[in-house]
Amino acid sequence: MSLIISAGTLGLGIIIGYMGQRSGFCTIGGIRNFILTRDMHLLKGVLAFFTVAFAGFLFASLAGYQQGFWAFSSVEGSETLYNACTNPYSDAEHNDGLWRIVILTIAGGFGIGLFSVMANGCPFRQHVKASEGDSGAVAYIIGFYFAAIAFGFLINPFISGV
Amino acid sequence: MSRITPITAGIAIGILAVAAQRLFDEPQAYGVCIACHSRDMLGWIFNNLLSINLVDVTTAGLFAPILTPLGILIGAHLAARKNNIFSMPGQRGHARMFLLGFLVMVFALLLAGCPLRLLLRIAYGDMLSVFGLIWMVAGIAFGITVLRRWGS
Repeated sequence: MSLIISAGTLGLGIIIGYMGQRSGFCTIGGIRNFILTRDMHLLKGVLAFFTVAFAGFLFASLAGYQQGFWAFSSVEGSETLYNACTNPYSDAEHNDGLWRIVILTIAGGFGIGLFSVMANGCPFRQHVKASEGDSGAVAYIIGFYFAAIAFGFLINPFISGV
Repeated sequence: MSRITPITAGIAIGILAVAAQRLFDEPQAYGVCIACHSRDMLGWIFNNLLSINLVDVTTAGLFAPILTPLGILIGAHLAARKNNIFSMPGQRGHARMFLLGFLVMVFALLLAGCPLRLLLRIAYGDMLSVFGLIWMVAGIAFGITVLRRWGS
């Protein structure tokens, strides 16, 4: 089972990495270009991704592959979805507040938008650019990975009081 | 296959994101996420190499490394090599890019996902993520203003 997860995600990554390089797919870039010049080229890709994902989840839930698709429009569903991905800083005593999740979602969304547009692309695009030999993007993903490891002991103490 | 339109790429990533969900039970809507998958990949490697619990990973990444970011690097590199656009020009501003990467990861972990997973969560029916998207668009607009005023 663990081999399936590793091999499956590796294969997924290779396919989307290849397609991302050939297409220039970028979520932040799509929204940025639309705000700047009403250019829909990249945004169409983002909308296609969202539409297909929505249709896919709908199909999966109707076909019975996925449990509880519609339940996720509830508050408890949102909390589950958030907390399942943030084990480190949502342990028992910090797993309570909806307001905490709302605040962190707003702060996180604003921060990602601001710093991604300053870095000229979403994390996915930066991975693709790093593979193309862009040394700025290589520096970006080194910082990105450093933060992934350092988050638990560097950032978490500051936000666990929120 | 030389160029692919972003629409084709978006459709393919959407299908794969839903299909990849079959690999994990928990967390849900986790098929594609650059930030979380990077955290799980590096967390698994560090925790297992050093035999300590340095990085907390999700239940999906607990027993096996999730290799999506590595796959993206390999896949994009293959595409760049195949089409002869791989080059390493000398660049400046690496400290700035390092800092931006650091900050994006920190805020992505606060949000519990990169922009791709944010959209995936909305597609999954999570209304809270809509707030995240609205504020992300606000952040992009603010970032454009910052770049215009103070340059890149």
